[in-house]
Amino acid sequence: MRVSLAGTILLLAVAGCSAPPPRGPCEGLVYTDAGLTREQYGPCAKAMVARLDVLWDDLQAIHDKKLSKTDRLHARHHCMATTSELARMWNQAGGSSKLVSMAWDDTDWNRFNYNVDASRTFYTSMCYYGAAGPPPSKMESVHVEARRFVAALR
Amino acid sequence: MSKPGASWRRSVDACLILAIAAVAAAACAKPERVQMGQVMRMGEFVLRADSVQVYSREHQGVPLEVKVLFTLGGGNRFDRLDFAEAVSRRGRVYLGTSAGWRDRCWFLGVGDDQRQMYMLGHPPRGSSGYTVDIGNPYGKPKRFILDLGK
Repeated sequence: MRVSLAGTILLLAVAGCSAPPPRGPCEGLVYTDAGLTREQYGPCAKAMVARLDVLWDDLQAIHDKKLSKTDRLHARHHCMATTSELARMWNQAGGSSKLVSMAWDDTDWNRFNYNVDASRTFYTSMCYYGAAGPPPSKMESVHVEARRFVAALR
Repeated sequence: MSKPGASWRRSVDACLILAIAAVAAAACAKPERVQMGQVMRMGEFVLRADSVQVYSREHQGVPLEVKVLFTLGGGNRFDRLDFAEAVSRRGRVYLGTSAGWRDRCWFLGVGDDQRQMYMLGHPPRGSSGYTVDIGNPYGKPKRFILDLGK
């Protein structure tokens, strides 16, 4: 009994000492008075736009009548999980108070942050509550603008 | 062989000792009393209460409103934004009166540089002897008691 208890404690200790999970691109960003630099924020921005792209694909699948009901339900669940993931990244990067409400020295980033926020708000509502009318026929302009911006980053 | 219930009594004793230790620790963590214009140091930040206004907005259904303006120094403007959040959420801010009324308040940053902050409280009609109890999430002292002098 004691040996198994000691073994369990040892196992837990080893598990606790193992390497921490890898840090995401939006974690541990250090703000200066100017905001964030392109080098620092760029990977996070790209990751957030990649999640927006996934959301867009999921929304297309949710409305695709050629897919089975199960597949469309699966797409909806995936969409919900991705919105949570995107929300986590957004909050890790500083949340709306830092990303949208505060003016950065590089105002292009403010515009980008606004575009991501508007896109994710729209897609999240579409994902959770569905579209009242027909499915979205084209990508939101704010999403397109955010994609163009990160594509132009070196 | 130990008496039945002895281990139970031992655990009750341990709980009592822990409770006494907790009360003693709380008694030792005395808050620092400060006046208007006096500096409160919290980690890398320096907070100072500059002015206080007490007025009525009776026509809007608010019998009494207390507005305290603060100046905040230290850190960059994004750190100062975090400061208002940390003090309000983790430290907690309360407005109190000499009659024993007390209510929770929030620090709100002003402008893009976040060097000014204010808080609003709504005490009952006819109140006086206002104090602000500000928790310090950055270390010691754990709390500041700011006398508003009104």
